[in-house]
Amino acid sequence: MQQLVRAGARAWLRPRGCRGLSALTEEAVQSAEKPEPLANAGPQAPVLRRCELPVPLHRRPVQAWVESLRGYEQERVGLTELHPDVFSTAPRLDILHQVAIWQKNFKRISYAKTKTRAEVRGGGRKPWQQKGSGRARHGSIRSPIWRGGGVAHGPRGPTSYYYMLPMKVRVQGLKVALTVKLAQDDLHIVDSLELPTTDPQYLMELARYRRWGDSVLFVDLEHEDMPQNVVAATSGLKTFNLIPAIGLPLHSG
Amino acid sequence: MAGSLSWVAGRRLWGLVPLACRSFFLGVPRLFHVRVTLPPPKVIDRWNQKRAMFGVYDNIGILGNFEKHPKELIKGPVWLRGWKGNELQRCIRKKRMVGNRMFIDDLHNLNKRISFLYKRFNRHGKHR
Repeated sequence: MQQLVRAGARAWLRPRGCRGLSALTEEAVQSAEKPEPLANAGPQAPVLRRCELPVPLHRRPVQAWVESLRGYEQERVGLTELHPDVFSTAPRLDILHQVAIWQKNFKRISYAKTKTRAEVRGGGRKPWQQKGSGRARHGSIRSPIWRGGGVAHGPRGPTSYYYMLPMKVRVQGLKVALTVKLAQDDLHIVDSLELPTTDPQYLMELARYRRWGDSVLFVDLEHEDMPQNVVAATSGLKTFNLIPAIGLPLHSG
Repeated sequence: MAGSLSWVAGRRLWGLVPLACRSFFLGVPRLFHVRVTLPPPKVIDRWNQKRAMFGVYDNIGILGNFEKHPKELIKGPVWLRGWKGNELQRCIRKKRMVGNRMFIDDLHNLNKRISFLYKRFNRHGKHR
């Protein structure tokens, strides 16, 4: 599965996991100010982006190509630098596993419920006297050994499986996921999510030409100003989905 | 033992061979029905809306400036959203939160269950 990210979107995942209020606004402004290359011009200036957040001195930023969705051939429109603490952390598969399992289970509420012998209708009277009838002794017709009786240790009521991993573990899981995607050539950074047509077929042909794979996740920065072409094209396709950056999942689809 | 009886064909042995010596190749009674053909394959859409959008917005807190908590996304009974407990804790929480609007029979059963579990957890077993 591949992810296309508007250039500059990822730098606001703070590397040290601390809360930042200004990084989000600064990033949104920054990507709006970047000059958009003209669609019809010939050789254009490459789109270059440096990393805004301070990089530790002993590490260098990771570099990635910026692509464009406007034409089939427009790969390598520019170059961007990505923060190493987010895009080249250690590939901690155990943290990835923990976060993936958490994502699967914390929302789960199981509605399985069985009736106990107290809840099954009937069964208040002793069926026959204790001694003398020759049969086994019983106290009610709804005990668990009877047919039609209650269940002794069955599932009881809606059960929730909610738990939370520490915030830093979840943040590290996202960083590791991005690192792994970038390292395995599944992450493509795009200058803008504008398409020339509304046709879903165009997206499929583009994905096939550039060898992205069967499914693509488009991630836009904000939910409000998504280009109409992308919204229309992805709503027609099942394996191509569009989400705002706030909803970035660790594992989806 | 079963090899030495193979010269006698099929059903004639059903009555002669005791159950302990019976091998599967003598045949099983038709009451234990075993299907010999595969069922039609179940068609599962791996990319329907729910599966494709699974896990989206789960990181809304850490990515969205902590305005919402992922536990607010959970859909379910009011007394279970973003909370986990064992059975007694769930019963008590349900009684506190929605007990005043439950059906009378259900409330009675809930009370019975609470008193049973209280006695069970606090008076029996190893951990009390």
